Amino acid sequence: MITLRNLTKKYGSFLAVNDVSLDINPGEIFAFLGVNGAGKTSTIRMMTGILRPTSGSIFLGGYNLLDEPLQAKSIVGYVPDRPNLYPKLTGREFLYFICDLYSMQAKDADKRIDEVLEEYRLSEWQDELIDSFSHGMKQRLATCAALVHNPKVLIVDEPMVGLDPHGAKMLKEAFKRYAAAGMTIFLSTHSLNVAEEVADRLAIIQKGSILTTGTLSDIRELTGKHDEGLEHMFLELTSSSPGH
Amino acid sequence: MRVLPLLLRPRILSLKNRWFHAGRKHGKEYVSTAASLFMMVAIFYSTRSALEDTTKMFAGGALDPAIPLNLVLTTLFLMLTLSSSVTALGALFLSKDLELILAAPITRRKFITGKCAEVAFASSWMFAVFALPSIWAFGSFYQAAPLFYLVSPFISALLLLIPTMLAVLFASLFGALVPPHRGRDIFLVLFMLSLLLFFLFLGGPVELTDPATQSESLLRFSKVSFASHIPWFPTTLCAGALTDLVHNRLAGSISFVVISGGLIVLIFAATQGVIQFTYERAFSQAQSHRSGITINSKLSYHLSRWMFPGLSPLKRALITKEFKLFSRDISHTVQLGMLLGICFIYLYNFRALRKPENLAPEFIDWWHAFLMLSNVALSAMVVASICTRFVFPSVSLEGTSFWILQSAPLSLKEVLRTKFQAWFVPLAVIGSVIFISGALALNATGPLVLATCIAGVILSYGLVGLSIGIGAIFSQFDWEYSAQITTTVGSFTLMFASVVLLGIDMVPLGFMFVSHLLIPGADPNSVNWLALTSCLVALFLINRLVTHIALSMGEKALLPSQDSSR
Repeated sequence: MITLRNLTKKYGSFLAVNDVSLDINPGEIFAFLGVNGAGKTSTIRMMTGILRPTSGSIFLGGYNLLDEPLQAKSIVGYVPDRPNLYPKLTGREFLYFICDLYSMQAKDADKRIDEVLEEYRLSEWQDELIDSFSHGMKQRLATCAALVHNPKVLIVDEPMVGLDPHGAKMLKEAFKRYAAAGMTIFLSTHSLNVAEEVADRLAIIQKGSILTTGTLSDIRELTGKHDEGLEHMFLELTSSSPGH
Repeated sequence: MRVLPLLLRPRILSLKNRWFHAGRKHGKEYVSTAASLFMMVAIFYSTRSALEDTTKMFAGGALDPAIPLNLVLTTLFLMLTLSSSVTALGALFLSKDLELILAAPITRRKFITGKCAEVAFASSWMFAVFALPSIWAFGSFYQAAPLFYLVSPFISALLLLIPTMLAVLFASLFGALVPPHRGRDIFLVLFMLSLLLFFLFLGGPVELTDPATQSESLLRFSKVSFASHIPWFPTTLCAGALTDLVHNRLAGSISFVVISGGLIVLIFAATQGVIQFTYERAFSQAQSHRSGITINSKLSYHLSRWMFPGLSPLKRALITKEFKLFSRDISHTVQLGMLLGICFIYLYNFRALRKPENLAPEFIDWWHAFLMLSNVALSAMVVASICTRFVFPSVSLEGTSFWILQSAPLSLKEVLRTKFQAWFVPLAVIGSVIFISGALALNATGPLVLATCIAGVILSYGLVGLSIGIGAIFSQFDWEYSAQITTTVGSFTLMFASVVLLGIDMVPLGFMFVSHLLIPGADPNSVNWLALTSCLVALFLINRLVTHIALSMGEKALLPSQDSSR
């Protein structure tokens, strides 16, 4: 469902993402791990069409993002790390706006908006300006916006930032549910417990390059730490990698 | 005083990084620098030319340089007071660095000093572009000694520091009384009201355009600028000091430095007093975003579907969002109201020019053609001003939410085209009303009113296209408060580009009015439809081309580049 081929991104002479290749299957939850500045957000911003890669290609649901950007983007929902939304729209108006951007029928939009607002406990706030929302509420509304048009692929950057423990638990459960229903989820995080808890497979990125990809067991095998948690393995991999 | 460079350092470093950051293209910076230099040269020569014309009016005796100097300095003083007040409100209550600064171990005095420096720094370009060339033009006209060119920048800079200090004082007082995001609107309303009163007291352009009363009116104008008859007013003192410098005397400058320095210290002390007692409450008030407004979102959505039945959901979404964001920002509506107020004043006064009683009969047709062209040019300038204030920022106003459009299944071309359509319709309506009213006020014939209306729509088309395009080229999504967008070099570049476009537009329009009104022996009621139509077609082609180029360049500027920054 998601294929990255030799994806590279340079900012001037700085190499942010270096020859990244990944294949993610339908219905899979894929965690993308790395320390701050490792290249996670740059990769995600390229996958959502916000940044243009220096080289390489991105396929989403079989569409090449560079050649068929509209078709590729139409099957993707994106939750950024910072929920910057239009402050002068109400929560519901914002979701209507998103539904129209994704060309949803008005009836379907109404029904779907009710569902996601209910699911993310925002129904009571739907007619208030986003300006008055707390950070966590904005984060939940951004998630609603990513889900409202029923995407096949959900790309989430640091999903737990700003969420309270209830919100975090709710989101983790929701991810599992969506994946079970066939949605592919690509989540970038440095919360290792989240990755450990929900991800089917994961990749660790360091200084723009992929260090390792696989299931948790594969990584245990690689590091030889059969009884250790992800945190130990992550620290060992990222501190022993060249150039660290 | 170490706090001064410390608190200004982020601004100065940002400016430096804009020029010297590795890999960055400098096209925008070069364009705006060139436009600034051009503007400085234009101000220098136009001030000189105005001085020559004014001196001719006073054929009976030489004009004291202090009178026109006082006028120029008072205008700059007012301009800086207004713009600095808006900046000061943002700097004191809304800027993003406040939490960092307030949490740091910095005394209130250092805080105020830093903020005053920040406001002065933000307005410094106005001083460089507008004040210096005007003052040097005086020196050149009155053949001042080299001392004038050396000392006058310091004297005028000191004068223009006073509005900055006053602005910080006003802003802190306003912040204490009303929420700062409303304070800015009140500042603007008060400023426009004072302009209106000033204007009414002056008696309008009727007297200024009448040669019999022109010199008398000019003197009256200088008096109502309230500076010339208040001996202690800073602009009067500064004009006196500069006049002394013109005559190679330093005494006036020394007393001006002492008095204005004392005044600045006094205002600073007052500001410190106000901030000491009110700032914390005012800042807390400014941080409260709770509006308490609830909107029936479902109803408004279905209403928008009903209002725009033929539009695709995508276009409807973008247009209604634009409309909602605009209408819910009170500063936009207040400023739109004020701009429309200016339109009415303009139209009211244009009526005064239509009866050229003291003109020779052979010049009356020329006068009419000139007035018709002036009506179109001035109305277009009003539309250009509206575009600079409201249309130009529309791309940047997407702000940090721009990722929503970037990641949605729509092209940037579509975003810009829709923004263009959303703004063109209201601007064409407003433009047409202004253009038609001006033409009717000039007693134009039916076909000329129609032609003026069509020209108005076409000019609005070009100006809106230019504004969206330049707005995209100079887009700045990380603003701290929205008023910043219109004070950037981008809006300055837009004004410059609009003047150039209107200059080009005046060629077919001039031909249209001249061919219609000045055919010797022609029946004044006959219509040269061929000339009218060809001129309007030429006008449309020019504006269509400009819009196309501007939007394409804007789209290119917004596209994620392969070397774009993080």
